[in-house]
Amino acid sequence: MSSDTVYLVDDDAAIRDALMLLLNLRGITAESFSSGEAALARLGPQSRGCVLTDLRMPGMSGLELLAELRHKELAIPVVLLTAHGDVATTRAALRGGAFDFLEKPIDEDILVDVLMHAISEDAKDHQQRLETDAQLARIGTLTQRERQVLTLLGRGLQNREIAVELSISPRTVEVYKARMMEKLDCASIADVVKMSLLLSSSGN
Amino acid sequence: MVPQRLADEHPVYPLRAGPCFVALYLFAHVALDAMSFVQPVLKLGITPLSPQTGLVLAFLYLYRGGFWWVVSAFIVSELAIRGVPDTMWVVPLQALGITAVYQVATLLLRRASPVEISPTLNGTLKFIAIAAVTALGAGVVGVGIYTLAGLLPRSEFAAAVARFWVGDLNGVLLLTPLLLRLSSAPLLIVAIGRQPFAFAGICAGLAMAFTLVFLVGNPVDLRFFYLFFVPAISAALIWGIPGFLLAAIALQVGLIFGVQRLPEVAPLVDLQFLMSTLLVTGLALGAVVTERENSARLAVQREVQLRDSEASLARASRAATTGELASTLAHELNQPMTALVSYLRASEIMMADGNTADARLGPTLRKAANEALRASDILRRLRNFYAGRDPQLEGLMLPPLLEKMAEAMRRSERTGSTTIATNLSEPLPEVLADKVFVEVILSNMMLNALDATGGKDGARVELSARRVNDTVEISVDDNGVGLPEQISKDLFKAFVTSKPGGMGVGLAVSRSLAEACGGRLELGTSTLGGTRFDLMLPIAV
Repeated sequence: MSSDTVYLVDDDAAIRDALMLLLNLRGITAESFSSGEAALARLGPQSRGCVLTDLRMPGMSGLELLAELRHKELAIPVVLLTAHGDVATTRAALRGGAFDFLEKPIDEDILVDVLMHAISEDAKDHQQRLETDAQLARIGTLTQRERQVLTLLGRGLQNREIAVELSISPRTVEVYKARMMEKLDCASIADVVKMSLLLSSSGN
Repeated sequence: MVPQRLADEHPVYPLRAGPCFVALYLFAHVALDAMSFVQPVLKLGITPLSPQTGLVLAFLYLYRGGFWWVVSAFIVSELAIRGVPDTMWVVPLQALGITAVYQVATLLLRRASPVEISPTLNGTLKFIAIAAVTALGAGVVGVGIYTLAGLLPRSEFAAAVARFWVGDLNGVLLLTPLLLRLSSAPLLIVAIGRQPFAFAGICAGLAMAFTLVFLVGNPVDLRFFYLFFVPAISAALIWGIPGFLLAAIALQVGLIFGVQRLPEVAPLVDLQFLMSTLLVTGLALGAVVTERENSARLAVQREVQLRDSEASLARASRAATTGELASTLAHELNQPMTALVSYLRASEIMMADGNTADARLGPTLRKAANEALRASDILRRLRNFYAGRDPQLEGLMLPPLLEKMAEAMRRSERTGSTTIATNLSEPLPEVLADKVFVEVILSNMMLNALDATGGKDGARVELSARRVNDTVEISVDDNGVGLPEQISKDLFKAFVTSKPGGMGVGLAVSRSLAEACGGRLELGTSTLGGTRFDLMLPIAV
């Protein structure tokens, strides 16, 4: 797994050079690309940090890069650089899920601030994703019956209702429920509800 | 120079064809003949100056029924000034013959320049030619009659004709144009009044030349005559033909005075020949000056009208793109500004601890300076176009210009390892174009080519030029990636670009600049496998 990196995308060689120098001096690891295509080829699920991309570029624009990343289910935060006063694009970018927006020329303190924020957000997200993945993995170990019990508990049904639903005795429901809670490391019924939400949102 | 408006108004003769007009003519004719009766041949009265002939031509030109008045004037002044000759019949016969010659000249003059004496060079040269032929005709007729009457030996015929000729010629050249345009005299006075120092300078110049030629120098030696050219030509340059003629008349009066009052002066006839050259030079020059001022004024008027209609069009189309342009401009300018600010901040960080020893500091500051230059270059390029500066067309020698630009491009950091070749083997005529515009167009094209080749191995940009009919075609060709089909179509529209960092106005701007010079900018067919642009500029005639 790579360390936190700022992936800088700008078609202007001087801007790449200057920002790389500045970021390095501020102790930020950075990698630069002259086009959205090049960055897209390099970025993967393992990429940690954030993308800092120019908005207006030949070929793939900053907005298109953002869309492509999301299309590939890469959640890395994207900070867009733009010229002053481009309201329409700003709105489109934020709707498209951009992390933040910076106007050129950039105030270096704000830049670093935003980048650090994005990086930590990415780390937090990543941590979250790791936990989610772990929980989903645990859900994966459940048997058919245990999973059914989890889903129905998540809908707010009582043990008796579940027993009717599954045509088993309430006693047996209790057993499945205990085993399921143990496998998923749930201490309370609230944890169970969270898990069931995770299960339904993961689409299984 | 104060534009003088002497030439473009048609003279309206105030006294035309009235009895006063005729009387005035008769008086002036006799008076002029009397004043100029200097150094005649024997007693025949052939003087090397006949200002009355200028009067005669103007009178006949203005007054169609003036023939017999002129004959009478010749007879009267002949008898009054030279006395009754031994052979009486010579006088009326000569008067009749010479008047007839001038009558013919009048007809020629009317055909050559229907509107009085034309202020154009062409009209003036025609006038000079007619004057020369007329004076020769008058000389042959006048002297011929003397000779036939036995008053002049045949051996002296040629010399007498020459004397007669130069006298009549100078008279016509001096007075006719001035008399025909007498109604514009107030304008001349106003024009002179506007430049009193020039007037004083010319007077002083004439006085100084007189002193040098007649008093200081050896008066028989005519080498110093050229000194008179300086003030006379100056007058022509400043006030055109009328101003020149005033100076010339002053000079002529001075010459007569000098010849009469000073001992041992060169014969007046020699001076008169020099005077002829001065008159011809000054009239032609004055015509050129007047013509140029008139055409410049016309051109300005026409341009103002044209610009008004063009400007409203340009404003409309500019307004339509202003919104888009503002954001495009902001982007284009923000590129170097962003890099510049970042380089400067980086430098600041490097020096944060009072440490100036960081090896990266120098290069970083230099890069920052480069970005500042880049920003100002973008501004300059855009300003040149959007300020709508009018092209200043001049004859351009392309080879040195193209070599210079290629050399500048080779030195540029953006060029990298790309070979920039020039192929200018053919001899090229001068083209008529605005130098700055051509430089902007070519540097745009070369930068495009550099970007297209993108520093790949064996990258090559070739600058060549050749003559095609009445134009010179300058090509910038490269072996880069070429243009996508889709882009080629709209290539010259603003904001269409396939280029990193481009704002998509470069080619649109370049094309407008080319068209402003009367040229064209087109996408050519690359011989190197990349993209080629052809700039066509008209050759200077």
